[in-house]
Amino acid sequence: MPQLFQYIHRFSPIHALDPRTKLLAMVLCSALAWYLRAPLPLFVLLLGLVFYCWTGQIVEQGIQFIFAISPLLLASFVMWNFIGSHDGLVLLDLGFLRFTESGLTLAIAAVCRILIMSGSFYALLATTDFGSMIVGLTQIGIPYSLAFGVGLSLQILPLITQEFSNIMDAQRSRGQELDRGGLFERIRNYLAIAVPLLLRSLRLGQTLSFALLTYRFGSTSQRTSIYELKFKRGDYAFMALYLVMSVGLVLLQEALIL
Amino acid sequence: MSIIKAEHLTYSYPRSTKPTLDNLSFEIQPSTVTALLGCSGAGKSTLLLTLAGIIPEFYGGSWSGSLKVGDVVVSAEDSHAADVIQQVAIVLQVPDTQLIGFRVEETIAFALENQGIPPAQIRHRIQQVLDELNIAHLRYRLTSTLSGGQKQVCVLAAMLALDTPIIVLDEPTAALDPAGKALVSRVLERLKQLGKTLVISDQTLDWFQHLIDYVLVLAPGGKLQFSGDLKSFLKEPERVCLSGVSTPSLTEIAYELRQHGCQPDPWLTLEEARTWLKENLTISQLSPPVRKLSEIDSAKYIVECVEVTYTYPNANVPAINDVSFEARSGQLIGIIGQNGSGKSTAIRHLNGLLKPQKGRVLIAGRSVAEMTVAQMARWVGIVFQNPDLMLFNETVEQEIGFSLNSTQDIHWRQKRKSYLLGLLEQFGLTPHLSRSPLALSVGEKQLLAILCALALDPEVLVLDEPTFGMDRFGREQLIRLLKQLLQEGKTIICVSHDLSLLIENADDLIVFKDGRLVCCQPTHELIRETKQFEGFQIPLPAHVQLSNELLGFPCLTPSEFAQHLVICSS
Repeated sequence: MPQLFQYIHRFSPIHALDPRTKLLAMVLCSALAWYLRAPLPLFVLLLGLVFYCWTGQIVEQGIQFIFAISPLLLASFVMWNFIGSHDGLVLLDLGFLRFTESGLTLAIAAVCRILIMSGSFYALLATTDFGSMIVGLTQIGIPYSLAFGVGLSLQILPLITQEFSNIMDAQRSRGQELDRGGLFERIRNYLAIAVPLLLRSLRLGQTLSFALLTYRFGSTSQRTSIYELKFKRGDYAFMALYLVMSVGLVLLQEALIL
Repeated sequence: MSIIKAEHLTYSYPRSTKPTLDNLSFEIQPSTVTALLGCSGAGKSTLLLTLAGIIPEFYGGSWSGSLKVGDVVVSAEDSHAADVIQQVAIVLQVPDTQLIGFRVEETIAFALENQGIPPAQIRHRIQQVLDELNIAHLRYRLTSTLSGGQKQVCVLAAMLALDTPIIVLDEPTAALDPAGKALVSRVLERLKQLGKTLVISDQTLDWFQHLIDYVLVLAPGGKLQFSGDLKSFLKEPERVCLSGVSTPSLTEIAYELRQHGCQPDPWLTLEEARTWLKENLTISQLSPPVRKLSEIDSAKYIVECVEVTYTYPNANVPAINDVSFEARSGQLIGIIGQNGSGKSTAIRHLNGLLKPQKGRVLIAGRSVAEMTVAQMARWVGIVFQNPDLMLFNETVEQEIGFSLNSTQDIHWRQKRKSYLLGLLEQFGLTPHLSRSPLALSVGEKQLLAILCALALDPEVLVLDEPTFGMDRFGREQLIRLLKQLLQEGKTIICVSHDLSLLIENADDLIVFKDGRLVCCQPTHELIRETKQFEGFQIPLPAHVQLSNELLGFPCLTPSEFAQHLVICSS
């Protein structure tokens, strides 16, 4: 199972950026993906994200991510062709499903939008480590306990994924065929996974509570940090690049509408 | 003056009718190492959590008597949890759950940041701790890239940074390989030198007995069975046996020699044993005993692994590379190696959980690649290290019957069920038939998991670290079961860091290193070279090292070694 939502350590210019810069980029990307309608500016924005992944040396993992969400992309593509506009040139008519030029445009835009929104979130997580993510979140005003909760969840997600995989292996090794039988039998089959996973997750939660207690978590409201975040030249250059791109894309969108 | 003092300490968990800790009175002196021993379920972890201030604060329950930890006195009226936590740091069994942070530096800094210490002081303290433990090279390493031993050392460094006078450790090496155990042992030695008071709970003494000053043994039911120094504890074989801890190899040799009229005190180090043996016995080199080649050598291969290579997705190097080995019916094959050397990857090929990218795996002549994992369960049963991954039914009886439901043959099903119930009876699990499997002890759960894997009558049984977390009673039961299964003609492949278990029971040993199978030989031949095992960073048990050195050939058990010593000196 690919390790989604996990930090990928690289020595890249993107990894060296301040987490707030990357957070800003993600927010900007998502807002633009929501605002832009035409496929061309969305496609350019997508290229911007590809550039981010390329500079961050996470292209291979990015492709795996796209592969993992491909069912969603495919479903969206078909659905937008199905429920979207049926005006314009008919490209393919299957009777129950008609692909028109405008429907196809809407579907491509929807796929781009999903890719940008989920991909920018993925790219942020893949290039920002647990510690600096928490500090970045607190610096933008999110309470530490909440920021820590988000960071910790991202850190333990791989542990739970590993547990899930181990339990699946253990049950299959017992001769358990998970997808055998009718609905009721399948639900029962999956209890063999759900029960141990639930119990193991509870145990993990309890152990983490002990660990946090030992680490004096919450013992003072005046918490300090060894990370000292400072915007550097690279951050300003990156933010300028993203702002220019954003303004350009908005103008392009307006020009296309006119 | 003692740093920990318990007086008539009794504690029961909420809704429990029996106390888990029952009328405990003991004292622990500062700057000492205390071994906390006892069989599974005796209350060791509960006592550690109590010493760390987590009980009763975290769990509630009923409490009587008093406990002094440092300057703080915990009583039924006031748990003073916050004050106790200031005195004690706790290290848990699995380091992954205690590594908060992405880099080693972050993990060590975390507790200091939580206390509001200025960043400059934190950086200084981190460097100080890393220097004290000689692990400064790990400072900027990602915790995910550390070995198991390094992870545990990183947790220890984080605890040392807290600068508490007391550190309690709950089976800190249970999940570690031999190299990890050696590393943790060295770091604990350093902590002792730094004047820390350490309380360590474990099922084995071999890896840290040279550090122990004081022993506390809890009996089942949470009563104090013994408190005193290690030598006094080891003097009485009965006492050691009752404690549930496996007798250290050196001590077992001493016990055996006593039966032959010698009077050695149990030794704590190899050097002590070597000196005593040379001074008190006339040892001459003997010709090695002729080991009988068992009938299994003529049997056909049931497992054939041929030039198997497998690389995980996203990995640059193969997890196993060109691995070949075979196993015959009625044979026990032991697999050893450090964590990450490819052992688990290799055994996952035996029932098709992983399909070889190169090479082939045959079970009884059938290619594993052509069958599903569920189909393979009739040929190969795998029991993973943690039985909790397998057990989920409401009762032990349902758990046993679960796998049988996949077959339609009612007659065969009944026959298998009665066979399994017979085994349950034989191993004392029948009284637990209507209990939840999760309420069993670690050893009982592991036996139950093995019986579940045997439900479909597989030819091959694969065990991954079967003695993990087991006390000596569980281990003895396991050995008995394995011997019985071998007699029935099953093939057993056992991955374990418990080298004594394998040397005593395995016909052949396979050694994995960096994804390659580097040795596959009959056990008694492979263990002849102590130096070779040093190269693998896997220390041979004391009796094997001593017999190689003094007799010129390896003995498989402490008892065999003692007998040969007596023969050659007489």
